[in-house]
Amino acid sequence: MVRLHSSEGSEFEVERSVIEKSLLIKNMLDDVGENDAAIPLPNVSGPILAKVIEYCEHHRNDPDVDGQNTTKPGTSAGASSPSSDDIDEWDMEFCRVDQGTLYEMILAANYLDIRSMLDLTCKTVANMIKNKSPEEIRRTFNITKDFTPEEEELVRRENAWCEDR
Amino acid sequence: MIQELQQYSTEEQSQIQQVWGLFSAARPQLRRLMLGGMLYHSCLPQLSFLSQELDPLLRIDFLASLPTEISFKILRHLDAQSLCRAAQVSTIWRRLADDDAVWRRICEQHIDRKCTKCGWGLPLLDRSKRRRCKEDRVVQEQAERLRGGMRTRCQEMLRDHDGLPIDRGAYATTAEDEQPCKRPRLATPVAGTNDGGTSPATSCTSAMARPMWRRPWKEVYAERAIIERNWRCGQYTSRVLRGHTDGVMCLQFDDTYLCTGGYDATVRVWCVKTGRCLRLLKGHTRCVRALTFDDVKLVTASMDRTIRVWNYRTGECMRTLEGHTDGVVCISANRTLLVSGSADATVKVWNFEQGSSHTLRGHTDWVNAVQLYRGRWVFSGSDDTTVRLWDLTTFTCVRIFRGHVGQVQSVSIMPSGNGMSDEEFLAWLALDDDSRPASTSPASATSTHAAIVKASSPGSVAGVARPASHAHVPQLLTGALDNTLRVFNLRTGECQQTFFGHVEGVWCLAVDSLRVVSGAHDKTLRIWDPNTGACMHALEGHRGAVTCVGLSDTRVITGSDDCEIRIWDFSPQEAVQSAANGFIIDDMNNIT
Repeated sequence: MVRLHSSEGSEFEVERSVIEKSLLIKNMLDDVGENDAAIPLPNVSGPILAKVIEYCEHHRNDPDVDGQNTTKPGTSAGASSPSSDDIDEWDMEFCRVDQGTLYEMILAANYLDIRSMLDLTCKTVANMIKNKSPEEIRRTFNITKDFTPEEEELVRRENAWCEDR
Repeated sequence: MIQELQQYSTEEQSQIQQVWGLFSAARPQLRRLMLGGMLYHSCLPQLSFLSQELDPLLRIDFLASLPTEISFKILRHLDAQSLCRAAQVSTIWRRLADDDAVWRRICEQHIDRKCTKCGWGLPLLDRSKRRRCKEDRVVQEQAERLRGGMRTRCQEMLRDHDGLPIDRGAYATTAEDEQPCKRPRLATPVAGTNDGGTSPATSCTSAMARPMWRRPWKEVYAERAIIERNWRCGQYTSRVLRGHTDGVMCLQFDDTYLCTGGYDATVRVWCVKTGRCLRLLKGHTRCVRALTFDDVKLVTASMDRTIRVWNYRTGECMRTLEGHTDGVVCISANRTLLVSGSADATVKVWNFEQGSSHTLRGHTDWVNAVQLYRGRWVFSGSDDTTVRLWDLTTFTCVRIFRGHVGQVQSVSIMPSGNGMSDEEFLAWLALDDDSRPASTSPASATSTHAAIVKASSPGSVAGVARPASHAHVPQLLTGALDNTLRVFNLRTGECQQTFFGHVEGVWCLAVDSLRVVSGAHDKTLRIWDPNTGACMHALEGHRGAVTCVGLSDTRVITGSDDCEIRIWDFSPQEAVQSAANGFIIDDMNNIT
């Protein structure tokens, strides 16, 4: 078992094989060897760490932790890019959180170096952007339009080709 | 909030500020506890207020707040349209969504292929340029081969080619001016705009030596997307070239030249961009039925029973091949081989390297179409309604494709069968040999096939066999006077699909990785989706049967019985306009 300390100091205990989905922790354990000292994770809060562990538990038996590096030869870079439509139900439910939590999950997955989770959370954000008008995107993410009217018109014209299908 | 606060008495104000102060000074755990307590004491309207206030506060500008590399990870999951919309959100989003790396990925997914996700494909516009670079490398090689047969003439011609005669220089200049045909390469986009006046060979090397200017990938994608849309929506500009005094029967073009031949027994070389006739080649005494050209030579076939090899830059006829006992109707050539089909029901294979020729017998009527494949096989279509596949290592017929009920006028392979090596193709082709005519298959051929099939382990044979269901497996596409186009399975010889739409006989067809075009006696040009066989457009304009057709990424060119040639141009309108304008001036100055 491995002990983890979240940013506010709460402690989590988790099987080594589970948390080794995190390359950061895996490398740490490989370097230091397993001992009783808890691993401090000052960048991850308790609730987010709980989500991370939930994710790792669920995906503990997935074949390849960092599948990104093992794309089959012959498939082009483009073809191997994961489609954002292929999120399975559990993952979808897992990501059904408020934007604040999702944001922190992305940062945590990035910091802990859990490729598949980073990928999943990024896809989730991408799906929030897809098929929306610029105005809808602004509303979704509470973004203020900082273009001048001239700039806006220029950008609109620059991108008009993609609308005319 | 401050304004609201000032409505209250001083005492109340200080109380509230004290609460806020306490909260903001507290540790995270305590803050949570405080909030929890406040929630506990809140009544429903207050909770509703919270819920309303929280919603926008919990919205985060992900792209602006996340580290840039993560923002790119997100954008990489978006399609072109979503990226374009994202670029219109804010300044930061625009910078991120227009990023070159993101668009390069999109380009890789779509250009010259159908995207596995969205089923969209875009044209590879640099084909002509890349091909030309490649050809220049092999020109020398080919010259050696040709020299055997053509000696001094050939040397002369090559000197012409290397030293670049005046007119070629002029074309090079103008060709570079015409944007849509001169795209940067997909792998390393290079500015193609200032190579003007240099020979293709030097322009290639200089492009490599010069510091590379890369065109934004988004621009590359956008331009192709517009061309694709023009194809899809049937938006084109058309031009008519007049000059032939009788029906046009054959044509071929690249981004610079268009060669046509017809019943007036002449061959004409045109400038594709200006539509100007550059040269008139006379020599044949009857209808010119077929032609093919590369950078070095133009080969024409005529009903006068001869095949002529021309230097189309000088207009000189370098060689005449005789051998067929009736008119020559079709030809197909590569660097060393020339294949011709004739009204005498035979197919002849001419080898420039060895100076030899072979005759393939089997058809019982006119051979209207031949197609050399991988330098080793030939497909031939005939008035006897069959298509035959010949193996040139043994000069035997290895397949007969039956299905048409009318005279077969054109044959083509789609797609080019990329991904399969010749050996794989051979093994794949030989697996199911039921349709091979036993009588015409001598032992030698069988043993060759058997050896290769045996050499591959069962596993690898299965591996080769698997693509059968895959789109990349080559298929035979034919057009016939029974008004249909048909797709045949090369292995089984079965007709898998029939394209219906033409109301009279199909005279000609052309294919690339994205579409099929065909011309027919019904005077229409049709554009088909090669996967579904659906007719996407029927273009009208010719006043006679459409007898020959050529296809490039942006154009279809057709020839007709009405003596006219039509160029159907699907490039973005402005580009067509400006290129044409620019060229006409060059044309006046430099050509003739």
